[in-house]
Amino acid sequence: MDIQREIFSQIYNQNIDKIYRFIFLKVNSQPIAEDLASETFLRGWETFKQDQNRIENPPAFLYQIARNLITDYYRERGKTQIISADCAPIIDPDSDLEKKAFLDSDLETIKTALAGLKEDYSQALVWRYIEDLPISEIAKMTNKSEGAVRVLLHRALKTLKEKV
Amino acid sequence: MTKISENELILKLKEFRKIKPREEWVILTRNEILGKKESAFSPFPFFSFFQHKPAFAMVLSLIILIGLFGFTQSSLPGDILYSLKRAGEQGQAFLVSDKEEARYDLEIVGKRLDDLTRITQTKSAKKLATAINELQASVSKAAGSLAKTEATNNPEKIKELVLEVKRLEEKTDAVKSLGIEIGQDEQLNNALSYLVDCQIRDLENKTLTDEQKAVLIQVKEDYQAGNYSQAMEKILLLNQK
Repeated sequence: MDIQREIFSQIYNQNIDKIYRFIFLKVNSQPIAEDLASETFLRGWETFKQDQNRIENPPAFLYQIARNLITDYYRERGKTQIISADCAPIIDPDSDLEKKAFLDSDLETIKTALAGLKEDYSQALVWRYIEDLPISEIAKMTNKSEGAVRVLLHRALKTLKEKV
Repeated sequence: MTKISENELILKLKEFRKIKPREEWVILTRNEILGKKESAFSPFPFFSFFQHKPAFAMVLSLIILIGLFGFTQSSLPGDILYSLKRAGEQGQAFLVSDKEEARYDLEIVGKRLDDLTRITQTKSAKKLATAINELQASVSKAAGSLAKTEATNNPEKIKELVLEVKRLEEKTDAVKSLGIEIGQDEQLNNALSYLVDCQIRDLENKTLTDEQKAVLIQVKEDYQAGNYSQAMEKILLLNQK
């Protein structure tokens, strides 16, 4: 059990930032992202404890739980996206306030557009350009060919560009 | 928002990498889910007898520690003192900077491979199973550290990682030659793949000479073929040119 705990602790350390970021970009609220992220890992740990061999790809498994929780969250709250006043600031080292305000507003626009994309598209964009996963890894996680993933990314980027 | 190109959009998406959870929340959540680790072994069971003579207790504790340290270094997975050895390694890990974490974790994988080699000679099936579990845990940790390593053009850092990976490959071959099948770790391969992919994309954005471009093509071929350590060696050469 100690070894299991240690292994899952490593899985947690490796994936907590990514899962939190993935959820935050969908729900746009720090407290909700924290709730859903901790629920994701709690469910992950419960499954892992029972049979860790069932989980072949921990990140993919955790992303799946996160996606399901986000779906449930929206089903309960309706389709209205809640914009929280205390959402996590995007850290910008640039001290020029005017430039910072302009950049932040650009990023807010992109964040809103990203959250509004269909799931396949937003997921692919997050994995590829934010989490820097290679195409091969995304292909494995989505059970698609690498060619199909490239096409998906191209379409997702085009759609996002149209929305902003 | 003014019209934006795809490349500009990608650059802006990358800005979202700065979104991170609160550190205190991360620690709290981990403790809540996994529970705080409690030490089941106290190296100082008789300490209470010396609470009135603290100086003596400290000297005695120091002597016990030094003695134990010598014994723990040679302990193997499954031995009573092995948990102390691991505690010592974890203590050292706290002192390692973020930049050195990946290299340190790869060193630990090397130590687990050494443990596995020694256990094979004892022919203890129970210890072998424990040693393999320990190895897998250390590989998983190293894979995580490698994945967190920021893409860097620091040739020294890349060189250290390449050398560690090569040492591990040699030790793995030695273990396999003893008849132990430890398999290829997908997480570590994924982490190495990610590191190489970062380096390739970094190099694609640079101005390269014809000679460097030719080497980059070879790096991509190695990457496609899954020969990540060879790809990293060539990247190292490219960064030195």
